[in-house]
Amino acid sequence: MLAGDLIKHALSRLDPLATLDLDSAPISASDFDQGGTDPGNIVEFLAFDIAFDVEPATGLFLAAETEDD
Amino acid sequence: MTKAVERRDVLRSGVAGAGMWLAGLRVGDLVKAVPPVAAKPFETGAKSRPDADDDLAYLTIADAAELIRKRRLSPVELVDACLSRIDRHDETIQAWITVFPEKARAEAKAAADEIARRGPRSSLHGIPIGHKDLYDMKGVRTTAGSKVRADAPRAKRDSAVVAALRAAGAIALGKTNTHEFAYGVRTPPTSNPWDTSRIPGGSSGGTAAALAAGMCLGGSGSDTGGSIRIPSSLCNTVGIKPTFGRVSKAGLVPLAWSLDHAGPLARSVEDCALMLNVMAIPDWGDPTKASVPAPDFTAGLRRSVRGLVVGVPKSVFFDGVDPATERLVRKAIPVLESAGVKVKPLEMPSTQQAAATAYLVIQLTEPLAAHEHYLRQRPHDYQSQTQALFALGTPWTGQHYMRAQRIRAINIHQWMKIFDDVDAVLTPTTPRPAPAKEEGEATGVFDLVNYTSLFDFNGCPSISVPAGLTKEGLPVGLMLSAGPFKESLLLRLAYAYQEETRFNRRRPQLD
Repeated sequence: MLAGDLIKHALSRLDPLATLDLDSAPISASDFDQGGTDPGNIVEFLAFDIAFDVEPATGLFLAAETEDD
Repeated sequence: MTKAVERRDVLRSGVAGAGMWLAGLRVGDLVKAVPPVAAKPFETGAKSRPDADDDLAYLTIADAAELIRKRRLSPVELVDACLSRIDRHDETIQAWITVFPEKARAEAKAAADEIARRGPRSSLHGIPIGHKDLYDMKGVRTTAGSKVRADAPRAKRDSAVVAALRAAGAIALGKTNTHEFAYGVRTPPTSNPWDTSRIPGGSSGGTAAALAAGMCLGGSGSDTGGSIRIPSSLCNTVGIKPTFGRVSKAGLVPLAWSLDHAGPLARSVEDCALMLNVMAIPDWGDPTKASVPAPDFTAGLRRSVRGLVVGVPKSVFFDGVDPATERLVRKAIPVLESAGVKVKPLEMPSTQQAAATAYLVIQLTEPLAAHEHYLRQRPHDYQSQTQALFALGTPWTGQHYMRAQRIRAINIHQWMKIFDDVDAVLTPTTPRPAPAKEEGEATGVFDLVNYTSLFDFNGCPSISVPAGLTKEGLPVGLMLSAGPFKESLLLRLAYAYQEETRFNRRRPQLD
């Protein structure tokens, strides 16, 4: 999925459309670890299901570091 | 290069002296000068020029500059022609946030007097333009299209781009509409001149709509996910996103610092080159400005493109493309081949899917940091879709951000290898023509950034040039992209295509 589709998909998970509340939004890592109050479980949806499904990239990281060494 | 403009001339004129962004600027070197002409008054009713105001307003910058240089067209007439179209059509199009008719007329008169005495300072001298309301202009409020900035103080000085264009003699007619803080692709309430029920694209939608409607001859834009190229594609104009660091962003309201690019929109490739000549000034007000010298971007436009190699991606860039858009874009292939370009299929980098996600993380995170002050002070003044985007930016941690930037580094490395093999990449600018406003309001139509955003991510230059109209009469854009600081090559290729097809000469019917 491309970036624009990802944004569109993520926005469709906001129900109702989010009204930003920085005081309750999970900004820090500790909030994130506790599950936070992210709208529509976006962290789970994007960060792990799709966003960082980057095995090839991880491989490249290692390869690039090996080559540099 | 002919050096018709001296720094002292510009300073004496009083228009550039206050521009601190221009400190140390050698205007004679930076404003690509036009051939000098001896003192000569303007002719009234001169032959060899359009008579009707509408035709004057639709002149290209290059054609208008030549008429001005020969004193066959006065900047006063040109500014009046554009203001007349703004009067007649902007109630419908709503391309402008602010218009300065009296100031523009006074500047046009001053430009005419100066040109009559000593000739034009540059090809932009006396040319009416519009500035996206994201650029600071001294004495004017920069609203960024938002209620958040509706009562902001007026800018104390020009942004680098505004100062450079002012020094070159361009006349700012006003500030053009932008999607709120450039964070979107719709630009409400602006209408697309080709079909007023549709969006013009964004976020530089006001500039593109104004150009398409014949309200100015050039304009400024900015591009974080496609905001110069998307509206260019949807409105049948030309827009170039230069290499990251090519044009200074000093005085430009940021959206995402590592993705933002400043650049021009116009109605021809040559006009974009003329504007880029002025905009790509050395500037120390922007820490991301590259020190790579800017060439004369018009110099090689007419050189043959024979022997250049263009790659057409096998995947990603045609994913989800609308059939009519794909058909028009692929028609460009034989056009370029007939000019001697070698076209070959291209594999995409292995990180390209991950790059889309990494782009998203950066695109959602950086604006949250940039807007922290306003978000804490007045979050409810943002439009609801903008609020939603900020909400999407809140979950990401520093770890996510750094992973995204590492993926970016690898992706850029992979693209550099691609550009060792091909000179440019040919793709659609957007997956489809202009969507209806209703759809935009409901969904945000973010799929429009699917192809363009990948070149904000890797920082490479990318241009959108008109590729024809669909059966419904909606414009489609062809996107050409090249390696870092290869704008001249890109402009040459786009110019060859444009001159063969002339799609950029089509006008929407507004009357």
